[in-house]
Amino acid sequence: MASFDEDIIKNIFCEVLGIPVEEVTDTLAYNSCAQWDSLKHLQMVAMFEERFGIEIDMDDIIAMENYGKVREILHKYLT
Amino acid sequence: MQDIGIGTDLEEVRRFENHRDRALTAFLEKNFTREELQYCLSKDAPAPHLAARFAGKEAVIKALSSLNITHIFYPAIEIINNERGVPCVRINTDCSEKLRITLSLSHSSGMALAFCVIIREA
Repeated sequence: MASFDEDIIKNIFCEVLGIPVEEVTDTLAYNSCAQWDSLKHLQMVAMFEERFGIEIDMDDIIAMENYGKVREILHKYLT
Repeated sequence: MQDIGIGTDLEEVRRFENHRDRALTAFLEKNFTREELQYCLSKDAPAPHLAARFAGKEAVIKALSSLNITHIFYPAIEIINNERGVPCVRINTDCSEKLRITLSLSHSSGMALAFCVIIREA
Protein backbone atom coordinates (compact mmCIF):
# COMPACT_ATOMS: atom_id res chain seq x y z
CA MET A 1 0.00 0.00 0.00
CA ALA A 2 1.33 3.45 -0.95
CA SER A 3 1.28 6.40 1.42
CA PHE A 4 -1.11 9.36 1.25
CA ASP A 5 -0.08 11.88 -1.40
CA GLU A 6 -2.45 14.70 -2.30
CA ASP A 7 -0.56 15.52 -5.52
CA ILE A 8 -1.34 12.03 -6.85
CA ILE A 9 -5.03 12.49 -6.02
CA LYS A 10 -5.11 15.86 -7.80
CA ASN A 11 -3.28 14.43 -10.83
CA ILE A 12 -5.86 11.66 -11.13
CA PHE A 13 -8.67 14.26 -10.98
CA CYS A 14 -6.96 16.28 -13.74
CA GLU A 15 -6.25 13.23 -15.92
CA VAL A 16 -9.73 11.71 -15.67
CA LEU A 17 -11.88 14.88 -15.65
CA GLY A 18 -9.63 16.77 -18.08
CA ILE A 19 -9.47 19.91 -15.93
CA PRO A 20 -6.51 22.07 -14.80
CA VAL A 21 -5.12 21.52 -11.30
CA GLU A 22 -6.26 25.02 -10.22
CA GLU A 23 -9.86 23.81 -10.49
CA VAL A 24 -9.28 20.88 -8.13
CA THR A 25 -10.38 22.48 -4.87
CA ASP A 26 -12.49 21.33 -1.91
CA THR A 27 -15.61 22.78 -3.53
CA LEU A 28 -15.24 20.77 -6.76
CA ALA A 29 -18.32 18.54 -6.54
CA TYR A 30 -20.00 15.70 -8.41
CA ASN A 31 -23.29 17.54 -8.75
CA SER A 32 -21.82 20.83 -9.98
CA CYS A 33 -18.99 19.73 -12.30
CA ALA A 34 -20.20 18.87 -15.80
CA GLN A 35 -17.27 16.52 -16.47
CA TRP A 36 -17.75 14.54 -13.23
CA ASP A 37 -20.42 11.94 -14.02
CA SER A 38 -20.88 8.34 -12.88
CA LEU A 39 -18.50 6.89 -15.48
CA LYS A 40 -15.73 9.37 -14.63
CA HIS A 41 -16.39 8.79 -10.92
CA LEU A 42 -15.85 5.03 -11.30
CA GLN A 43 -12.77 5.63 -13.45
CA MET A 44 -11.24 7.83 -10.73
CA VAL A 45 -12.04 5.25 -8.05
CA ALA A 46 -10.38 2.53 -10.13
CA MET A 47 -7.32 4.75 -10.58
CA PHE A 48 -7.11 5.49 -6.81
CA GLU A 49 -7.29 1.77 -6.06
CA GLU A 50 -4.66 0.89 -8.64
CA ARG A 51 -2.27 3.73 -7.76
CA PHE A 52 -2.51 3.35 -3.98
CA GLY A 53 -3.00 -0.45 -3.83
CA ILE A 54 -6.24 -0.25 -1.84
CA GLU A 55 -9.83 -1.44 -2.21
CA ILE A 56 -12.45 1.20 -1.48
CA ASP A 57 -15.78 0.17 0.10
CA MET A 58 -19.01 0.79 -1.80
CA ASP A 59 -20.30 3.20 0.87
CA ASP A 60 -17.12 5.27 0.59
CA ILE A 61 -17.34 5.31 -3.23
CA ILE A 62 -20.85 6.73 -2.93
CA ALA A 63 -19.78 9.23 -0.24
CA MET A 64 -17.03 10.72 -2.49
CA GLU A 65 -19.27 13.59 -3.57
CA ASN A 66 -16.68 16.38 -3.64
CA TYR A 67 -12.89 16.72 -3.73
CA GLY A 68 -12.62 17.44 0.00
CA LYS A 69 -14.55 14.28 0.82
CA VAL A 70 -12.43 12.22 -1.59
CA ARG A 71 -9.24 13.45 0.11
CA GLU A 72 -10.69 12.72 3.56
CA ILE A 73 -11.77 9.20 2.62
CA LEU A 74 -8.47 8.32 0.93
CA HIS A 75 -6.59 9.68 3.96
CA LYS A 76 -8.54 7.18 6.11
CA TYR A 77 -7.34 4.28 3.92
CA LEU A 78 -3.75 5.43 3.65
CA THR A 79 -2.79 6.31 7.23
CA MET B 1 -48.13 -8.30 -3.66
CA GLN B 2 -45.69 -7.00 -6.26
CA ASP B 3 -43.45 -3.94 -6.34
CA ILE B 4 -42.15 -2.72 -9.68
CA GLY B 5 -38.93 -0.75 -10.15
CA ILE B 6 -37.76 0.84 -13.38
CA GLY B 7 -34.45 2.30 -14.49
CA THR B 8 -33.03 3.70 -17.70
CA ASP B 9 -29.66 4.97 -18.91
CA LEU B 10 -28.02 6.42 -21.99
CA GLU B 11 -24.26 6.36 -22.72
CA GLU B 12 -22.06 7.82 -25.44
CA VAL B 13 -20.24 5.04 -27.30
CA ARG B 14 -17.17 7.24 -27.97
CA ARG B 15 -16.34 7.25 -24.25
CA PHE B 16 -15.64 3.51 -24.44
CA GLU B 17 -13.61 3.59 -27.66
CA ASN B 18 -10.15 3.90 -26.20
CA HIS B 19 -10.37 0.79 -24.05
CA ARG B 20 -6.59 0.71 -23.71
CA ASP B 21 -6.67 4.07 -21.89
CA ARG B 22 -5.36 3.61 -18.32
CA ALA B 23 -8.41 5.01 -16.50
CA LEU B 24 -10.89 3.16 -18.71
CA THR B 25 -8.96 -0.12 -18.41
CA ALA B 26 -8.82 0.13 -14.60
CA PHE B 27 -12.55 0.92 -14.53
CA LEU B 28 -13.43 -2.01 -16.82
CA GLU B 29 -11.36 -4.49 -14.80
CA LYS B 30 -13.03 -3.39 -11.56
CA ASN B 31 -16.64 -3.10 -12.70
CA PHE B 32 -17.07 -5.72 -15.45
CA THR B 33 -16.85 -9.48 -14.93
CA ARG B 34 -14.37 -11.57 -16.89
CA GLU B 35 -17.22 -13.05 -18.94
CA GLU B 36 -18.63 -9.61 -19.78
CA LEU B 37 -15.21 -8.38 -20.91
CA GLN B 38 -14.56 -11.52 -22.96
CA TYR B 39 -17.88 -11.03 -24.74
CA CYS B 40 -17.41 -7.31 -25.45
CA LEU B 41 -13.74 -7.51 -26.43
CA SER B 42 -14.41 -10.42 -28.81
CA LYS B 43 -16.35 -8.02 -31.05
CA ASP B 44 -14.71 -6.18 -33.96
CA ALA B 45 -15.95 -2.93 -32.39
CA PRO B 46 -16.10 -3.47 -28.60
CA ALA B 47 -17.11 0.11 -27.68
CA PRO B 48 -20.88 -0.12 -28.40
CA HIS B 49 -21.04 -3.37 -26.43
CA LEU B 50 -19.07 -1.95 -23.48
CA ALA B 51 -21.26 1.18 -23.50
CA ALA B 52 -24.47 -0.89 -23.66
CA ARG B 53 -23.36 -3.11 -20.78
CA PHE B 54 -22.43 -0.12 -18.64
CA ALA B 55 -25.79 1.50 -19.47
CA GLY B 56 -27.38 -1.81 -18.45
CA LYS B 57 -25.64 -1.83 -15.07
CA GLU B 58 -26.70 1.79 -14.48
CA ALA B 59 -30.31 1.01 -15.43
CA VAL B 60 -30.36 -2.00 -13.06
CA ILE B 61 -28.95 0.13 -10.20
CA LYS B 62 -31.60 2.80 -10.82
CA ALA B 63 -34.38 0.19 -10.87
CA LEU B 64 -33.02 -1.37 -7.66
CA SER B 65 -32.81 2.08 -6.04
CA SER B 66 -36.45 2.74 -6.90
CA LEU B 67 -37.22 -0.35 -4.80
CA ASN B 68 -34.96 0.93 -1.98
CA ILE B 69 -32.33 -1.74 -2.66
CA THR B 70 -29.05 0.15 -2.45
CA HIS B 71 -26.39 -2.42 -1.51
CA ILE B 72 -25.83 -3.88 -4.99
CA PHE B 73 -23.04 -2.21 -6.97
CA TYR B 74 -21.67 -2.41 -10.53
CA PRO B 75 -19.27 -5.41 -10.20
CA ALA B 76 -22.06 -7.57 -8.71
CA ILE B 77 -24.37 -6.96 -11.67
CA GLU B 78 -23.47 -9.30 -14.51
CA ILE B 79 -25.14 -8.99 -17.91
CA ILE B 80 -24.69 -11.96 -20.21
CA ASN B 81 -26.61 -12.67 -23.42
CA ASN B 82 -28.48 -15.97 -23.59
CA GLU B 83 -28.44 -18.25 -26.65
CA ARG B 84 -31.08 -16.03 -28.32
CA GLY B 85 -29.04 -12.88 -27.74
CA VAL B 86 -31.30 -11.61 -24.95
CA PRO B 87 -29.39 -9.87 -22.14
CA CYS B 88 -29.87 -11.68 -18.83
CA VAL B 89 -28.98 -10.11 -15.48
CA ARG B 90 -27.31 -12.10 -12.73
CA ILE B 91 -26.82 -10.57 -9.27
CA ASN B 92 -23.55 -11.97 -7.87
CA THR B 93 -24.01 -10.99 -4.24
CA ASP B 94 -26.27 -11.80 -1.30
CA CYS B 95 -29.78 -10.56 -1.92
CA SER B 96 -32.62 -11.78 0.23
CA GLU B 97 -35.24 -10.30 -2.09
CA LYS B 98 -36.92 -12.35 -4.79
CA LEU B 99 -36.42 -10.24 -7.91
CA ARG B 100 -37.44 -10.79 -11.52
CA ILE B 101 -35.15 -8.57 -13.63
CA THR B 102 -35.81 -7.76 -17.27
CA LEU B 103 -33.31 -5.67 -19.23
CA SER B 104 -33.33 -4.36 -22.77
CA LEU B 105 -30.20 -2.93 -24.44
CA SER B 106 -29.83 -1.07 -27.70
CA HIS B 107 -27.06 0.81 -29.46
CA SER B 108 -26.34 2.78 -32.59
CA SER B 109 -22.87 3.83 -33.67
CA GLY B 110 -23.06 6.83 -31.34
CA MET B 111 -25.26 5.99 -28.34
CA ALA B 112 -26.15 3.01 -26.17
CA LEU B 113 -29.39 2.74 -24.23
CA ALA B 114 -30.70 0.44 -21.52
CA PHE B 115 -34.11 0.01 -19.92
CA CYS B 116 -34.70 -2.20 -16.90
CA VAL B 117 -37.84 -3.42 -15.16
CA ILE B 118 -37.60 -5.27 -11.84
CA ILE B 119 -40.51 -7.03 -10.21
CA ARG B 120 -40.09 -7.75 -6.52
CA GLU B 121 -42.21 -10.71 -5.57
CA ALA B 122 -43.51 -11.08 -2.04
